[in-house]
Amino acid sequence: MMRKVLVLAAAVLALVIFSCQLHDEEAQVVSAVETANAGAVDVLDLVIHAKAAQDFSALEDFLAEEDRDGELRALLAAEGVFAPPVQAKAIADYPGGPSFPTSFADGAFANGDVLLSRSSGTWTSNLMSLVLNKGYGHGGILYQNLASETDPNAGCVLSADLEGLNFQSYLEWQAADSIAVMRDNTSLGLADRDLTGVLYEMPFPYTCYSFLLPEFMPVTREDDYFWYCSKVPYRVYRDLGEDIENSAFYELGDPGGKWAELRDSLLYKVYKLYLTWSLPWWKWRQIPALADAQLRLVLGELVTPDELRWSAEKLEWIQTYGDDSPDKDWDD
Amino acid sequence: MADPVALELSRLGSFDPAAYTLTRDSDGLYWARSAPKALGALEPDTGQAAARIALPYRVYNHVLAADGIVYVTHHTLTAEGFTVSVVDTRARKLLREIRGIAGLRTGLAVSGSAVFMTTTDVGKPGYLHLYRIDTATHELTELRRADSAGSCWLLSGEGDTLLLVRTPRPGRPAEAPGASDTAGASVASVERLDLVTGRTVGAQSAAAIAPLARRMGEPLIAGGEIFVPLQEEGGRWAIARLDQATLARRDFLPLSYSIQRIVGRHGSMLVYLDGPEPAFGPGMTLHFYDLEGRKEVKSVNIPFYLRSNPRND
Repeated sequence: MMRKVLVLAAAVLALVIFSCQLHDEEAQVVSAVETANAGAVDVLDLVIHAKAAQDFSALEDFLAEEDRDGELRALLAAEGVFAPPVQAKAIADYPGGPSFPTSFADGAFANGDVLLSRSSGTWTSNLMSLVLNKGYGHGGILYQNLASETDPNAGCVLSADLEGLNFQSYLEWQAADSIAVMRDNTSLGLADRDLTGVLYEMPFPYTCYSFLLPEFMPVTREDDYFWYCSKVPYRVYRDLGEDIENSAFYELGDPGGKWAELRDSLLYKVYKLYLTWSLPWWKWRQIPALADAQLRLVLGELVTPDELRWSAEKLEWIQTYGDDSPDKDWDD
Repeated sequence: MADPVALELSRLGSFDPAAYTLTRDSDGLYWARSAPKALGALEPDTGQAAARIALPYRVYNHVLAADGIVYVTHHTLTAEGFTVSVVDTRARKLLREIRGIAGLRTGLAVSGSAVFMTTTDVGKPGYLHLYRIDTATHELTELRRADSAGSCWLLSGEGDTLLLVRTPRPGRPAEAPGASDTAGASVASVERLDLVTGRTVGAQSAAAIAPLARRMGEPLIAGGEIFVPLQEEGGRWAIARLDQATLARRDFLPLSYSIQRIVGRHGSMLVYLDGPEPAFGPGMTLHFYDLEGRKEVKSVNIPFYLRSNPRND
């Protein structure tokens, strides 16, 4: 009897110890993932600001401190982060294709047009391109009432970048490789409305640029403080009652869906590297699975320019000016 | 630089692709946006950058006032409204930010001892605003406010003359010329303003300037005359030539091409940039217009010129 009790007690003790170990490991994993999340967001933030200002000192300081083996630097270099800026082209310089109008006041555009661009040269146009490896990288909504035939620097495209919500001009947008024009095809009839009243509802004075929060969580659509470019047209339409996002675009439920192509993005690669650093005892299959889950979570919440470009029936594609390769990027 | 005598362009150097306004200081340096958030100076003899002043927000239009002080507009709405940066180009530094401006800039001009700025609300209640910035104190004063009624205000200044043009905004059907808005003013008109109060001291309606005018652009004041670019119903482009003192129409100059803005005047030669219907696409073309012959005498497509004359800096 005594022996049985001892065996049982030993078994209970072993179970408790095992349970504690499990609990400890779980806590370690949670802590390691939190570290990876914060580290990856820090790096992406530094990259965006470094590229925008062409000042890499903060990023270099960070790498000197955190990346002594040079693994992260090698990854960033391979992704072109340190490459010198490309001279921005003007969209009118592209031969062939439709002629780009000289003003957003032109009849080729209308109130409520969602403008999407990709550029190799301007910092406004490539903030999201730094982390999305294909398709369009920038978006905004046209308030044609604010455009001008006589001043191409009139602020008429509402978007968001490192200055938070702001009005961008024709001249800034025309320095792009591609511009796709998408028109309101909902019942809102924005093309025939003066949109300035809509702006009244927007929380202008208290905005900041971001699409990733420190927990490697996406900025939500409801967040009135953090904005990124393509969230702006999305919110204008949504606040008026129309959801223009193609939420099925990335095929998140399909293991081989379009989302998987964003594994080639800087965002994914940096995150995966940080997971590898933070969870060295994990098996090789667990890290990609966690990175995939996080990528899908991010893409599920963000409204990317590509989700507006392929917005199903809500936005009608009108024209692509310049290089049309972003339109073809997602072709099978 | 456009030479109105030789009818030629020459390339002095490069600024940012979104640089729109260009000013020349008393030392001969040209100032414009040299980077999204910087104002830069160019030495015309060498084509090299001579200065770079970082600003808090992206640079849009600017004017040069007395003593080398430049006023730069921004499009970022802050907790204190829109802002203007005041830059001392001689000391190469940002002096201050003027805050509390309602609306986005639609016009900017220097006249007398002040900088004037017109803006349009970007939300309700939809007013147009006229501001005066005293160049001695940098004090901002709102001089006028009016219901926008589908129109906007443009400004043009020279010496002690300040003109305010009211013209329909794009994106809406053009109002009939001479129609009145809720403020009781002509939808399209040219007014001369008092430099202290902003009150109208002389006005000419679109009906008197060009009966078929659909919209007007920013006027050029030069040589005792005012040149108002406009588009008529039916799409024809023209320039109304007014007397600077009386605003009476002296001539009506038909254009062969559309007009975005008048660059300058030298004697009987007027230089303008085309758009929104470019004459020789892609890109804009600079036209030399002979005021005596009342027609364009030479046109230079700018992208073509730039390709044919690559910079060697």
